[in-house]
Amino acid sequence: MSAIVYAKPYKLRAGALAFIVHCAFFALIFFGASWRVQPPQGMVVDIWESLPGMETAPVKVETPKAIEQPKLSKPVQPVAPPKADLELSEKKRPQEKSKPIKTEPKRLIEKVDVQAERKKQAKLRVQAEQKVIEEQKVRAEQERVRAEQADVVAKLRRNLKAELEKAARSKVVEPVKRLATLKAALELSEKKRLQKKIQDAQPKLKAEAEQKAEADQRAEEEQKVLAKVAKAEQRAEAEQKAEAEQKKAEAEQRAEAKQKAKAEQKAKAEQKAAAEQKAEAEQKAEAEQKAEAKQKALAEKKAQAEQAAAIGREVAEYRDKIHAKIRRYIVILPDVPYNITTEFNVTLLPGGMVLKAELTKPSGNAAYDSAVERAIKKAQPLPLPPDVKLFGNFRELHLTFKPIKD
Amino acid sequence: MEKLKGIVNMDVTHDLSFIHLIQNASVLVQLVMGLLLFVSLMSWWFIFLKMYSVRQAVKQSEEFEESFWNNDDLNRLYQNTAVMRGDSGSMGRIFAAGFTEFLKLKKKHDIDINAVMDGTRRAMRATYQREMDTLESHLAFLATVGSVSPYVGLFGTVWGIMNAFRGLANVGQATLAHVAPGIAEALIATAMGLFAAIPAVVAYNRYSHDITRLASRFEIFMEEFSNVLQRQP
Repeated sequence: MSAIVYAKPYKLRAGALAFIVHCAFFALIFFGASWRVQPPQGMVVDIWESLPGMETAPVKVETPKAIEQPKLSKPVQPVAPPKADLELSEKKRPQEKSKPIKTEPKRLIEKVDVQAERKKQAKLRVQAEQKVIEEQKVRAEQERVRAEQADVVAKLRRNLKAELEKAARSKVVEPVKRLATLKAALELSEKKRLQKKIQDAQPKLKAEAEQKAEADQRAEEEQKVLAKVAKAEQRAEAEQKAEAEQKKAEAEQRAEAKQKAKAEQKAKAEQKAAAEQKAEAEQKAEAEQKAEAKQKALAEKKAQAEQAAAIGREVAEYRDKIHAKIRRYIVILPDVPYNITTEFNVTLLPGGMVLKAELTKPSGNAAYDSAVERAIKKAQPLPLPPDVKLFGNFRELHLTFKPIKD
Repeated sequence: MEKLKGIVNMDVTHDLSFIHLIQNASVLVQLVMGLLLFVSLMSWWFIFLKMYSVRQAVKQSEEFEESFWNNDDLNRLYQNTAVMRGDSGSMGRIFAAGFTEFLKLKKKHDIDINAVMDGTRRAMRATYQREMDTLESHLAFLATVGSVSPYVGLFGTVWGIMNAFRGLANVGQATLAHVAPGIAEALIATAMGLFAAIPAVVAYNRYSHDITRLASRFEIFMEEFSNVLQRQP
């Protein structure tokens, strides 16, 4: 009784501890089991940054000569559009301008690709800055190229002038062609130059515009000079042309006559050849038909033979099975001599039941004969092939049994 | 315990959280789980109770032995113990019972010393038995919980799985998704059974060992105290 006294103060404490342990256990199970239930959080993909690029890109594609439009507007454009549009315009520029810039845009594009993948706003600012720098570079390049082109054009012009002067001095028929080509070249270069000028016209510098105006004036003057020269030469050209055309027409008539004759001969020859080919083809076809017929007949025979063989094999297989099954049921004493044979005529019903088992040749050992007969009765249903058509081969079975010494 | 819903809800799309599993279990499985929870609470309560009482008994025995061997005057020790009474511990109570009986028998002069010693020993043994009985109380419960609760949990699990498969029979196309919730909720019963059993077994082994050691210590003390008493004039 007194022993219980000391246990009492611990009862409450022990109960509280037990409760705490259980709480801990259930918390463990609850959180352990429930964290699996939470569905996997979907990935958050932010794609808004790619949109401006997508929008601006087609606009640039629509107007491939958009470079004609003022380049000044670009830096003014909002920072938001990423490199994509710049990249595109960069691609165009080298195509229209000259090759030296090509290497730089490539690098640029690679950079832009890598950056476009990250697409973060923080980087966008950096990109914008880079863009401005790149644009400046490109502009510098363009100006350099323009200067080079201007040099080239000037050279061409000088050469042309020299040639023209020569032509004017000699005034002979011979340099006409040369002049013409030169004229064409000049015109082409002029056109190109004009295009460039137009392209470069709007950019920021007024100086360029002035230059262009001067160049235009120069070009007009040159054209005037050229026109004077050309008029003089056009007359001579016209006369020459007329003569050449007459000669040409005569030669063509002759050539046509010859061709007609040749064509007739050819047609005749072709007709002959075609007739011969037809005959040959018919002969061949007949021969092939015959051969095919033969092959078919052979194949049919083969197939039939194979079928027969298959049937024979199956029949033999099932005959063996029947034999084996009956043999399993033969129960004999060990003193039966093993050199005796007994033969039975077994009549089967579809389904393998034995209708009749007739002893046709007794072995001389009555015990063995009766054992075999009993085995035939016991072994039913006898195994039969699943193909019902083959049952005809099993309706009447002639079976021979020999005792086997184990 | 969760409210007993009484309906076997085999909703496949139901989420598999712990509470839902318990709620969706069949009545019998819920009963089994409730029983196991109760048994587990009880066993843990006894575990802590025993822990404190055994620890206290060991401590008190040590203290008493120390004071017993350091004290020449048995009478004073007896007075102290009688005053302390409840706090003197098992060994103190054995000593008190033996010494009381010894004094009583000593007063009767016509009794043989052997008879006195026999009486004293009997009194001490009786107290010893009572003390052992108190110390060993609830240990049997721990042993039972340790050996039976896994089977109870297993029974709940088997029943739950049977239900799960019976529900599967009604479904044309059997998939794991049809059986999984049923099996999961059934397995909670096994988990609870094991949760109740493992600490119970460990505690039972631990405390029975401790109590056996205490018992041998008491017996040794009884023998030695008998010798001391016999030497008394």
